[in-house]
Amino acid sequence: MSGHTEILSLRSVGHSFGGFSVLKNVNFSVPHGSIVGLIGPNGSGKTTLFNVISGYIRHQHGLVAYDGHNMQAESIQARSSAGLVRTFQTPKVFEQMTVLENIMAGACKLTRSGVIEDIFSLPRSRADMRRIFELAEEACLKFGMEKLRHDLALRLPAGQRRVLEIARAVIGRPRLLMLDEPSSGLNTNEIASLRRWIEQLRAEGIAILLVSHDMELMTVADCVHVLYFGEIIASGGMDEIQKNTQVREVYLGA
Amino acid sequence: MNVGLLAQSLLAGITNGLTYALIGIGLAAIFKGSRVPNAMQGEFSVVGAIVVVLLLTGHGWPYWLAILCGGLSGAILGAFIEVAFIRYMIRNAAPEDSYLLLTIGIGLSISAAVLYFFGRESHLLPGFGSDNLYIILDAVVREHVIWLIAISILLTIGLRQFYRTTSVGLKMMAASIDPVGAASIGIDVTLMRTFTFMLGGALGAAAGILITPIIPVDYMIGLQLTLKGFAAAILGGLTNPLGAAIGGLVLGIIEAMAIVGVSSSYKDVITFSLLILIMIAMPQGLLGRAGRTGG
Repeated sequence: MSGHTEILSLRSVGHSFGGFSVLKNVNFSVPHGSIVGLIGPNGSGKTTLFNVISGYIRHQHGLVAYDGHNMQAESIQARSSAGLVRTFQTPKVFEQMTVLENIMAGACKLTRSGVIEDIFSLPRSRADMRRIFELAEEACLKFGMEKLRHDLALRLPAGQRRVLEIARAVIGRPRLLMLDEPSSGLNTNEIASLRRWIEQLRAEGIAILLVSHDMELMTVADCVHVLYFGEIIASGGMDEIQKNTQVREVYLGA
Repeated sequence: MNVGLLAQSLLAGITNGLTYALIGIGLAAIFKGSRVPNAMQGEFSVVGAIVVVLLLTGHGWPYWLAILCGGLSGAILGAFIEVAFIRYMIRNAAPEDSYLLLTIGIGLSISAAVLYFFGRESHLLPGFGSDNLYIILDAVVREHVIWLIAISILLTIGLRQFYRTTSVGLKMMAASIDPVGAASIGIDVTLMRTFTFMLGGALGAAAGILITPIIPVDYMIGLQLTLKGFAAAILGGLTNPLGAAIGGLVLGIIEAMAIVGVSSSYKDVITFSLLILIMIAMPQGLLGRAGRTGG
């Protein structure tokens, strides 16, 4: 871990689409090993902000720093390889691969073997594959997917796809995990498990940036920011946020 | 029809079918990995075979080394096409049909280059192994045919193993299924596409090298091989490289039966008429919808 207290830091981040500002002067940070929540009504800019942080959109103004480094020029895969990993509102699982293969693909960045070693199945490649196979088996157990591990991802129901996407993201040992609506499509038991996993990941030192409409799940966050029309209008603990008059007016509708 | 003739035709069908399969597998691998309908897959075969002819007969290289270089030439050509053309077209959001035009153009250019440098002559390679003949079920078989069948089957099984059990194979498969999701877990999608073209090129070259001891290579054969490869790949579901192997075999066997049952002059008419009927009855390919998404 570096000397920076924050794994992610956003300073005056702004972005517009065709002259319409979707992010305006966004400032917040995610300390190492903490859970930070991001809430806001539909269209408030949460997913755009996720796309900016993960590199799917190049922001036009401000600074996105990951572990003290400016990320502006970094590609999506470079960010992911550095430990900044995200999930999507609609889970992006590899449908024609099995559950186990999906999770193994997430662990491929932990391998050290090169293409030639892989093609000729040389000892280092075989050792790498054994290792990621074992890690994937463990992840299947941890996320309750051991009975589904040989099923194609396309046959999974929506909730299980989401769990698979999280398992695939976690196996790559992220330092900052960005979860976009992770409880969407999950049943009550699955949401309880999700909360347990999130707390366990924090205990393992992984920082989490969480976007969710599920206010119950959001209580897991150490700090919550409210985004409204691209601006952060309130920050604090969930209790504090729920009492905030402006937030109640624009978001909670009370 | 006696057993010997039937066995001989079946064997010829399997031999040709496996060659079509290799071309179809390469084509399907590229289509699956990049959505590029590669209308020059047969040219990989021409280049691979010509390189081996050149090194073996022109420079006296050992056969095994010439074969290795022939396979590599297909991989290098595949990488060149992806890096020089496809990458920029994808960056500029080119529509799918423009790739068809691009690959037709490259195919014709390669064909013209082979005509320019090597003339109209056909070139044959020596068979693998010895010139021994074997009798199997009353059919006379050259040793090379046994090598061709064995190598084609090994390459097909090896490809499946490569995709499923190696790190780079898993990454190539993931990048081909969902590039956005693949990038999010640190996979270099562009590099994987280059590898896919290299793999497709090497498989095309392998097909060319394997068939040239039986069918002579010339500047025109690429288009014929591409058409057969396309038919094999579409029969197998187009996005499923292993489906293309089955498609190739079916194509080869129908073709051989058409020759023995009717006439070699009408083999393409009969074969493609049957293929049209199969595609009307099974529009997703021989393996159905599940097969189309597999591989």
